[in-house]
Amino acid sequence: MDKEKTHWSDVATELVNTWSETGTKMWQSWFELVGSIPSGQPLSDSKAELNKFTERVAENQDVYVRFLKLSVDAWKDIFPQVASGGNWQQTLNQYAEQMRDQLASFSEGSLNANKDIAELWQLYIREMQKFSQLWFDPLGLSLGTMGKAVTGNPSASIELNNLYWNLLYEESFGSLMKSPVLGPTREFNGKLVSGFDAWTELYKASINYQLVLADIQVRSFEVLMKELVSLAEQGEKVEDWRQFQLLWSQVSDGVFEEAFCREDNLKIRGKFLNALNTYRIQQQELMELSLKTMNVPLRSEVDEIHKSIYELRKEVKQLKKALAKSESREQPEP
Amino acid sequence: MLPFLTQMRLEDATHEYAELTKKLLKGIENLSSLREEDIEIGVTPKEVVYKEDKVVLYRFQPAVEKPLGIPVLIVYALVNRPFMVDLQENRSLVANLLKLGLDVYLIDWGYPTRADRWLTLDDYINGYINNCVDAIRQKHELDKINLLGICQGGTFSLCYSSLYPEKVKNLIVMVAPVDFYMPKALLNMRGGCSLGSEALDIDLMVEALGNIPGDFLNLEFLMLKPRQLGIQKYLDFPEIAGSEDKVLNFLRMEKWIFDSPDQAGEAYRQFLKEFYQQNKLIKGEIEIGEGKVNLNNLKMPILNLYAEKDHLVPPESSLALEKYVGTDDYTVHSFPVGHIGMYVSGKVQRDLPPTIVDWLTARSE
Repeated sequence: MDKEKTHWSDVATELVNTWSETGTKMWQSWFELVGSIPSGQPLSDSKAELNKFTERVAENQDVYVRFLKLSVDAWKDIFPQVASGGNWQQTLNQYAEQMRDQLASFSEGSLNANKDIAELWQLYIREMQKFSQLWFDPLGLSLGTMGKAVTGNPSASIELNNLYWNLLYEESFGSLMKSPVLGPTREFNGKLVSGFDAWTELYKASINYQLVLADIQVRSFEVLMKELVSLAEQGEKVEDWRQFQLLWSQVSDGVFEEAFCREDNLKIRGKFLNALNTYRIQQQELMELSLKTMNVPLRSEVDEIHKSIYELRKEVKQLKKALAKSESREQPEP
Repeated sequence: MLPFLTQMRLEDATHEYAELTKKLLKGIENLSSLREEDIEIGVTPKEVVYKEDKVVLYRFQPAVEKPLGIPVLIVYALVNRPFMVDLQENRSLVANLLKLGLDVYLIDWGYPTRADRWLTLDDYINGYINNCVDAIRQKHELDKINLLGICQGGTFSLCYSSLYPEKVKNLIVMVAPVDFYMPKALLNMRGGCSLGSEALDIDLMVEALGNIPGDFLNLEFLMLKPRQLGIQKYLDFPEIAGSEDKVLNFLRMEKWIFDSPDQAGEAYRQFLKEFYQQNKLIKGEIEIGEGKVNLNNLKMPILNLYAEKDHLVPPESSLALEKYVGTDDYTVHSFPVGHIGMYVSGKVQRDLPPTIVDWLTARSE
């Protein structure tokens, strides 16, 4: 049993870790495929893109096969109990419980890994070294981190995560980081430290959001199994993998919808998005400071120019309208 | 009892996938012969009659000798492109309306750039829509024209008709959100209809991003049904890949769905905050420029069209309109499809255009 447990447990881990990546990969594959058409080149000429696309399709198939295997393994344990009127719910609970255990270990691992503030600061600095890239694509960050989603019961882990940040960061290093800085590099350092603050908020919010996504995946699995039991009890057959896939999609999206109509989950998602935007603003401020030294036009300056042009354009339109009105009034009656 | 799930082994699943891959590769051969012009959309002949900044007003070439005397202006959502109503020959709302005798105009919003970051709803409604309406009124020497607003364009049309009732003869709204407090609808909830800025801080977002990227909005729409919209439909692709017609239809839909312009920051801010998060439209608290939108000003005949399975604009959101308008001539008509089905479903394309044309013809005097 232990061996089996480890086996499907591994499958579950891999599956859930790739859960949010899968969709993104599918879109990317598709965009690349479609994107090669406007070039006017026939697809057969775009061999590199085509190979990439095919590879990605294969990768995605792999993920699906793993999910199928997990589901089929679980079902093989559950189905005999359904048929004999046994306690299938207990078996399902055991499966789900183990998936949740993995979440707990992820959460713990993640916290342990980041307990060292110095390590956090290093991570941040590493991020900052490539901030110019992130400045152009901050939303990519969300997709990237979402891809690391794991399984588990989120509420306890989220609480733990928040507790860690409040106790270990906010009340110690956090308050120190917020104290005013001195010296000629005061402005830059100040922004760098504010950026660190925004980054830690984003880091925390991102983990909480991932936990919610992962929980949705575990619950989708549970609901899918229950749906299969319900169909079996009605004597309805799931004939092939496509039908199974369709059922899974419907179940999964239903769980997702229900989860995000709940205000507690919406708040977690909101904190993540808001933290992402706050971090982006901090990045832009740092970017502006560094660009200033190079004597190039800054985004805020270009925005200001755009605003002036917009206001002038509006004024000209109003003046033209007023002029046309007054001219038509002055026209003599025919 | 369940042959698939009790008998299937991993090898079987792998075999199924291998079969699908073969089909897909065969389909790619098919795709390799396609060019961009093959997936051309928006094919109905049209001419430019007015231009302002990035906005273009088109008039479609009438398909009958004497079209209905009062033209109709179509106003669609800022997140879409004009070909949403003119996808392809047999799936074109515009082409069907023309065939049934309407004179059709359409506003193309264009692609806002950073220079358009400061455009407000005042600019869109009191500016662009009003100027397009005036251009049509002038061209046809009419006081009033017909307005057909789709989705967010429907909400804009309601605002416009409330502010300028003297210029709108008949108003048609299609899958238009009116009541935005929809606690069971995912889009409304994610937009903050119950939580406001705790769900999404729009001010912060506009400050951080300027214009809101079309890709972000596409992602939001996909996340309403992440598996079905993000994965399932692509897994179905190998099944259709061998048929050129089906592949072309699929590509046109893809192009339509993902060709989303960025949203001008200020306009997006007001729409999300005041419509979605504060539900001000039905409260009569929306201000566009110097005018206040009061739905009770809508005394003209109104046709409200909605989709029964709409996951973007719930039917209840559209149906709420009846409670707030000031007209006695109010008609509701539904179609048994989802939001996208309203534009592309064959059955809807058979029934929707006559519904619009018959309703307008009866009110053309």
